[in-house]
Amino acid sequence: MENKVLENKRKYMNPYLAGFLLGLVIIFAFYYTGRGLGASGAIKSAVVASVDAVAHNHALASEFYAPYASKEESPLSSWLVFEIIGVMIGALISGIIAGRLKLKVEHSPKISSKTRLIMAILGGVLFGIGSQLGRGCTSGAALTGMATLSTAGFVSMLAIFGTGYTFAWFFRKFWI
Amino acid sequence: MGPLIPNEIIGANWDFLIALLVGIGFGYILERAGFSSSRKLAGVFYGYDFVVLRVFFTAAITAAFGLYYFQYFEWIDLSMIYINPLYLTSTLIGGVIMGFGFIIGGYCPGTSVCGAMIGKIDAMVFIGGIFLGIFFYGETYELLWKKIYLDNFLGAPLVFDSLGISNALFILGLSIAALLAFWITAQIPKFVKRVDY
Amino acid sequence: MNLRYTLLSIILLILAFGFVLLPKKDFSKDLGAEDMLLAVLDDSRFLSTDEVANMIINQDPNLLLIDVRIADQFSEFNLRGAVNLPLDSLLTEGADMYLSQTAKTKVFYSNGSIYSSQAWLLSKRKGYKNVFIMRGGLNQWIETIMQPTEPKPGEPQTAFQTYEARKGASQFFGGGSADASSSGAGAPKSGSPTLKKGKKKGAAGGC
Repeated sequence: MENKVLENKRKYMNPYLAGFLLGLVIIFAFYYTGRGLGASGAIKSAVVASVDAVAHNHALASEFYAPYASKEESPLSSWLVFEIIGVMIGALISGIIAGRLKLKVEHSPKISSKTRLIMAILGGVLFGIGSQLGRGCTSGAALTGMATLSTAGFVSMLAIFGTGYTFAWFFRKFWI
Repeated sequence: MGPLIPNEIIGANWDFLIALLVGIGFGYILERAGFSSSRKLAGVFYGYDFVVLRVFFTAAITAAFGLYYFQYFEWIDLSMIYINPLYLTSTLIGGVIMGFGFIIGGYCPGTSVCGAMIGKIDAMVFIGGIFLGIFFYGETYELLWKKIYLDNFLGAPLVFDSLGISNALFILGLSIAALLAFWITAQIPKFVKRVDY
Repeated sequence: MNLRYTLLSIILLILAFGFVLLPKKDFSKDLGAEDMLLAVLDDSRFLSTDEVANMIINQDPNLLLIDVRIADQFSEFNLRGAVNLPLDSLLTEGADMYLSQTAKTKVFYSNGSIYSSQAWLLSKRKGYKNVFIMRGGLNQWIETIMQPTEPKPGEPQTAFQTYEARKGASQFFGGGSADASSSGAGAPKSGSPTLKKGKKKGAAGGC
């Protein structure tokens, strides 16, 4: 066990260095395209594309889908979709280098894999709703928003992590 | 002067290539820093691993320094970049919902993509959950969400304007706060039971 | 670890203090007289009533209609989704909130074109981007969209096409007469501003 932990430590980048590099990536993104990072937006594009493919008229009638579904090009041809494809490639490269590619369900020893998966779905659903309502997720609203020093970014960050800390105690069994 | 594409200094067809490059950088760093592990991420809430706070804060400060120094040297026109609009009600409620999502699901959208790519099944399921969540939101938008989504619109203010101080002063305060946070969180694990994951 | 981290912390603080001590620069972009002249000569500041009607019908998420008439007139009749910023309130913070959104297509209208043109000049002078005027104002709107006149036989084909489009629009907006009960003021239509429209605009949303 001790060895494994040490080994993991070595394979993870120093967090401050990682943060610094991530900051450079954000500056790069803003300098070239005028926008920052994001993630939930790409999944939203996938949802819109699916709804549009299955029920085009329904998509056009909905105020939520229509702005994207009524355009000529596919909702998947968006900046964030390309960015997320990049994220996948980048994560895969790093996973290969660090030798972390392994199919598994990661969970606390106090809960079963099944419980973990149910909680993951539930968390995902909440994140899906929250990111739409909050106009962006942790990367798009909180991280990028803080980088530009926008008030919305700070409000978003405080709301997400404030809630996390407030209710962490009730969910401790899932993690520790 | 940047941003290059909105200012039409380089063509818009570079947009997607740059998106891909930015994504590769983003994904590589997230995974490399350990954001592909939900238990490592959740550590920030229980005091056994503060990688989230460290990476997050350092990245935001680095970028803020970069952007505002760039503005000062007139390399970038900050009025052309995207500033998140502030709709107070929906930003707060959305943030609270995401907070619950984080503590229950252990990931956020970006990190779940990284986790899924290195084979975390819980991360793949989490992405499925986001998909369902957005679908549910889309289907019930007019019914449940539209009003709060558009409520309390306050423009796209910057935080130093909201606080009524200069941007430099705010960045200084943020830097000091970050250094304090880094120092304090470096002490906490000594008092918390270690968690192996 | 400690020496390295201490050094990095000191560098960070020096950068931060340095930024505080740097002389202030003004980045607000008031236009000079020459730029103003160029802007005025450029005809692209006008949008026709047909273009505006089209954007409303298509629920263009970037459209922000701004009614510069006084509040009484606004409450009597306004265009769907418009916000009311009377001319004398245009330089207030409340107005800035709307006008500073680079990504939105901001369209001024009044009864004719005079007040909206004044509003346009003011906002141009203040450096706001992506601002337009609805040509002919509400008078033109009622004439062309609400009560379109049928072209006479012998007029070019395009006249008939325009008429058809206008008739459709007229029905959409409640048809035939100016409908005073169309939806009132309030928050502008929102949505991720991903539609590319017009020249040089701010970047679109994050996530």
